[in-house]
Amino acid sequence: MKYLLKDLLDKEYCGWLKIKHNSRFINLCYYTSIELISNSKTSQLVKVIDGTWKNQYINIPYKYQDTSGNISFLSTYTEDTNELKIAVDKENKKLIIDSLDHFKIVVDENILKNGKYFIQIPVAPIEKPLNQIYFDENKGGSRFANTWFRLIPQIGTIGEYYLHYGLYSKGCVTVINNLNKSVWNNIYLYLIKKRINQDYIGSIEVF
Amino acid sequence: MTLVQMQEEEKGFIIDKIMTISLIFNYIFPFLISYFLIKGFYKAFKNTWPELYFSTSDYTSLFISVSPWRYFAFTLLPTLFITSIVIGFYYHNHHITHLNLLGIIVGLFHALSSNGVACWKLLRNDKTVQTFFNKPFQIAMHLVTILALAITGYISGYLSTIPFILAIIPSIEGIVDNLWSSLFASVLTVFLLKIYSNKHVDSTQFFNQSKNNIPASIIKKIKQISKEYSANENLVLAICIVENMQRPNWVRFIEKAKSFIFKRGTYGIMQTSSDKYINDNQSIELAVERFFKNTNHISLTYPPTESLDAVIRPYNNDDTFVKTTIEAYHYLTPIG
Repeated sequence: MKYLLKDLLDKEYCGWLKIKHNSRFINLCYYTSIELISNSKTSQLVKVIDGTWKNQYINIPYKYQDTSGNISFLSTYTEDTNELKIAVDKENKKLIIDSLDHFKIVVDENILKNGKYFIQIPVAPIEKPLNQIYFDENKGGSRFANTWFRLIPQIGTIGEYYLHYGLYSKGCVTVINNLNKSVWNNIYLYLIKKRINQDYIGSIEVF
Repeated sequence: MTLVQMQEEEKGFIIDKIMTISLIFNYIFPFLISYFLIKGFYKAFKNTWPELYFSTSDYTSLFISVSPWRYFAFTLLPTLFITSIVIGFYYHNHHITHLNLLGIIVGLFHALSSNGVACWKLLRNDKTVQTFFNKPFQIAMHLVTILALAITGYISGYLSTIPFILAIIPSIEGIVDNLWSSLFASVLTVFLLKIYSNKHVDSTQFFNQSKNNIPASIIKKIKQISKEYSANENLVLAICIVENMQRPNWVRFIEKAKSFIFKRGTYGIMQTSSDKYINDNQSIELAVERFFKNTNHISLTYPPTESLDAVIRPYNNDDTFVKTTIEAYHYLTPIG
């Protein structure tokens, strides 16, 4: 039976579940599709359906577990069938998400070429150290600031281009701060639930 | 009586006086030194202990209040250690006696000037003392602590004569020699301790700890009851997280024990008023039904703070509690 990896939005997890798998640590993002294989006293054996670890069999711990019982990270599967319509307007420095809003961005026009890109399901939290102010939700930051969405061009060489939150761009589409509200929380929570297949969230048009 | 005899008698009287004064000082000084060193220790933590008892505005207090062992260790060990050393010093250098009595006086004086004052303020409904749970219980805890400190003082008197303590007591020359370096080291240590242990503490780690200390069965109950009453699950969980910080499981256990004698009180993780003991699950159901029914339909995200404040205050009007619960809610729920 299919499930979704949920209950990861609090500040302990910030949208990521870090698990030990085959002697190393891997990360599964919020809303990863899962097939439950079996339950044991200490963990749940699952098969990952989408993302980098698709088709892997992994043991997921319980979110809460003690002598009184256990509570899983898994929740009932629901599918968002609404098409993702998202675009980058380089000239006006805007990220346009149809059913959401327009967001101010920084983008290097010379590096990010026009065209269609696929938005990859996030693989792991970004490892590069980020300014702590990015995470301060009282000042427009986001607990998901270390989740970057990689942009894979439909045609051409795959580069290190991301849609992420921050202050500046070296080729990425960088959503900038709005002190009045956490824009990246809105964008993250909208995008992370979308899928077009097992690898991608959707496609984004850059013009 | 001859002149010589009179002079001898007067001399003897003066010597007696000097010895009496010396004797008094030999007992007053260790008492004063012990007392002020103990006060200084707690002052170094800038802790208004125990007046605020369990204060969510001071994370050092939270760290201490998590378990009864930490609470009593923090309350009793400094008194035990300081009093043993000081009395031991005077025993070793000035051969004072009545050590246990001196220890009791130190312990009792410290206890009365802190816990005793707190008790008095509670009885007078003084606003400088916060009541986190029912007053009789809070007063009882203070009385128990006063008794424990008196006993600690007694034990200190005994410990001050054991070879281990005597071996580590310095001579007067040693104290003078090391005074400046010790003073410098202690001030630097306290400064660094405050900088790194308290000042930049992120509330996230305390919310993590409290959330993960709540039994899975209670989390299940929160989910079930929230669904049943259309309550905002994260709001109910946030309240339980804060209540679990303020009145951890061991405090609720003592409240349960108290209920065998005094039935009426507030019980359970959601501190619900009841004429008899109720457990955590029952307190959740009662509290959600009374205060958080249908909160799932209220916009609790943006603008968040005003709506949350209005929903939480009927449950608990304390400013610190409301502020901390809002923080806990935002810990659970992304703003936006």
